[in-house]
Amino acid sequence: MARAFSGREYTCIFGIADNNAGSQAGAVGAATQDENAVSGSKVLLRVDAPMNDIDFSAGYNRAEIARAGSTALRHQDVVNHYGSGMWTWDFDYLVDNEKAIQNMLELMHPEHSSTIGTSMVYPANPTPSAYGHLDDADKNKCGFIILQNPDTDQDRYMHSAILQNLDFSMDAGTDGGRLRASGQFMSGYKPIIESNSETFDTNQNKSDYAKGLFDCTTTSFGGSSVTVRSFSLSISNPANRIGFQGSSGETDGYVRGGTFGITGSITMKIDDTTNAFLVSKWQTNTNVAIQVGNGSTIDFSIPEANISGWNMDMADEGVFVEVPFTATSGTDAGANLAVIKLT
Amino acid sequence: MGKNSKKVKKFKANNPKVFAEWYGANAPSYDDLCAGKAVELDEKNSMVKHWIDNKIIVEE
Repeated sequence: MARAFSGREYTCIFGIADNNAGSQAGAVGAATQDENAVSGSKVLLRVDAPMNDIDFSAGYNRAEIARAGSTALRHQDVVNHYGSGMWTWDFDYLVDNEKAIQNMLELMHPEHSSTIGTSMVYPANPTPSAYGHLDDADKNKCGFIILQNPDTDQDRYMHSAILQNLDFSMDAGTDGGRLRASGQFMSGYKPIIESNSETFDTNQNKSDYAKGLFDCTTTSFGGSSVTVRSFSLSISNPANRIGFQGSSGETDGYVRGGTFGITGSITMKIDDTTNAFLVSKWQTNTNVAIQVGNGSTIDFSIPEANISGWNMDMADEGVFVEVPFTATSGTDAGANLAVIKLT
Repeated sequence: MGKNSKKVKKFKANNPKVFAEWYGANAPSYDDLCAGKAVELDEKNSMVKHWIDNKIIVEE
């Protein structure tokens, strides 16, 4: 009998395709993205074990057709078209590699003009990328995921993957306050099941980032210093597949046609400063500037956050308030949505 | 000084580097604030009011 596998034996390689690698080798839809990655972007992604497999269920375009003259389904009455759907991969990651999290920040807005090693700016009006099939313009906008399997000819390789959402969280009582990231990749191209021996780039298997809430020494809300118990931020830039090309129903590219949205929540100790925010910030519908970080190696800034709630928690540990918010671009789009530094 | 004249308030960014990161690319008129210079601003403007409320700019 063949041996049983442990979920901990599966590993994940994650990188950004070099869209302009030449001869369309890294283009949208190219199955050779793993060999044509942005230099230094291929990392060993130590997501929580056991990690998720690719969700293949939506890869089928499925229908069950009840036909006249038959009271039960025949085999031919079940329509299953594999290739015209989409595939997703969800991850949950206690951030431990700087390049990995910077890759994710970039993939949420590939048209950025930031120096990612310094900061990532999500501007007032993010420009969508061109995701046409075989587009090889000089922007690196697709990720790829390789799930390496102990049964080595069953590796999963998802190319041309769009990072649709990226969620950050830090909590004083969870994981030692460390930064956690989760999100979902989507592809409209069939994941390839093969023996894939691609590996991470030099030193990109290091645990070289261990920042969290307790490193956030410069934390302010509405211009006042506050004591924070937890903080979360969700960036959303969803994608949809477009029609099909070729003979197998794979997508003809993508559109990221939805709203580029950033929402979050901050939980603060209630004291005479924060107590006043109920009236002075929320009820007056004025935007607040939120900064959680240390200004350099871990920093989340939302210059124009609009408060969307006020939830008091009167626990024995003390009174806190959870304030959900939505990032805006301020009056007449005069501000950036968010500035994030993870370096 | 005539009785109708009023004192002009000038403001500068509390932290010009942070101001530049948050607002710098969005309007050319922010250049002076990004550079740490004091400029005259309309306190009735909602963006300016937000900056004052959030201590993003301070009166010179």
